[in-house]
Amino acid sequence: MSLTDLRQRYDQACTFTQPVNPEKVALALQQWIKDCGYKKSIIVTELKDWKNAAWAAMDAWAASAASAASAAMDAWDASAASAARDAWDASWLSALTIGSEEIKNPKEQKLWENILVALENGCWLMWITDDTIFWIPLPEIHIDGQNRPHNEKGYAFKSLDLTEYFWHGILVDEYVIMRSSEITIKNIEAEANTEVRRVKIERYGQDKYLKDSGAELIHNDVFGKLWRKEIADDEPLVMVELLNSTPEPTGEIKTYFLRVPPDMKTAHEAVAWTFDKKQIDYAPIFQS
Amino acid sequence: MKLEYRQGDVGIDKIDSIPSEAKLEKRDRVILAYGEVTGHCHEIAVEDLEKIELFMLDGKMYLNVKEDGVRVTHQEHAVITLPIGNYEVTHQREYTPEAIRNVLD
Repeated sequence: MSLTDLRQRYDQACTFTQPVNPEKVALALQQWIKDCGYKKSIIVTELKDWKNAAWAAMDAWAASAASAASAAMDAWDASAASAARDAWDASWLSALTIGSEEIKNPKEQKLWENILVALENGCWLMWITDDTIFWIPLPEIHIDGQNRPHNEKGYAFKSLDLTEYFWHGILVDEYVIMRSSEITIKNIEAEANTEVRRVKIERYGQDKYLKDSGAELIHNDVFGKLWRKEIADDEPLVMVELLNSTPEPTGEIKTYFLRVPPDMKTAHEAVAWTFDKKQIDYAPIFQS
Repeated sequence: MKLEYRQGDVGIDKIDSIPSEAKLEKRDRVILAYGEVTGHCHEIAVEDLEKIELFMLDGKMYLNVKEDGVRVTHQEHAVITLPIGNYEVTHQREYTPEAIRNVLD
């Protein structure tokens, strides 16, 4: 197995898109703990919910220093490693097979490749006791273009019976994503967390929030209208309201809002900013 | 550099010359921007492709329009007609406290 092949396998496994194969995970983990030098027989158990995962973590915490975890820790031989009784992360441990190959240590490479195989077959976290390796499968994760957890239609993270909702990396309550109609002005203004408040405003609709919360019209010219809403403990929300240049088939001309930096003073300056221009440089000779 | 033409969230700036490091690219379609929400796109009319040269540099798009009358089309906007010249394509953006991001139509 070349270094390039190992890296490719690792990169693919870290996409967390592979199906879970419990039988192959069990075989790989049993081989791994055996290769670590642990002599007793050990069973491998897939956990189905986080309540049991918590019990497994407690068992691992209580396990004696002579446990399988200690054998694995000795095999790891990493001074900065976390305690053996903590959760073991297969996606992190699998990198050891690459490092071992880089320093040309075939024994270590083979040892940690077992974990890569477990990861390739859907193993994520493990807790190790004297006689059992408990493991949970990879979580389901939805991300945005910047690799942040995000899903506008459902949970962004699901592991066993645990689901979490994120908006571009910000953890929010389920209703913010699934029932945004329940967000109110009062609810937004009572939100103590600034980042969550921004998400709530975005989910409520920034333009709707401006209107419903009594925003101030601070400038009006042929380019559009500039609105400002002061927000406690945060920067103001400033948006420019623009007209669509092309009318709808019905003849109606729709408006739309774009958020601009809070130091904008005129609608002209604001729309110029949206094209990375100074006010003086924004005067289209033709627009549609 | 002044913005002279605008079609929705796409700006087309007249420039004196195209950066010398920009690379000439040949494409069957020249799409200035996709509408990720609607699926619509701002595009050079296929019949006009032989009247332009497309250059790319660091993700930016430049057009050398060699004949008058090159049309930029979009499903929801009126056609824009470009005269001879060099152009840089820009995209409308929006401010957020976390980052500046391109507008998606």
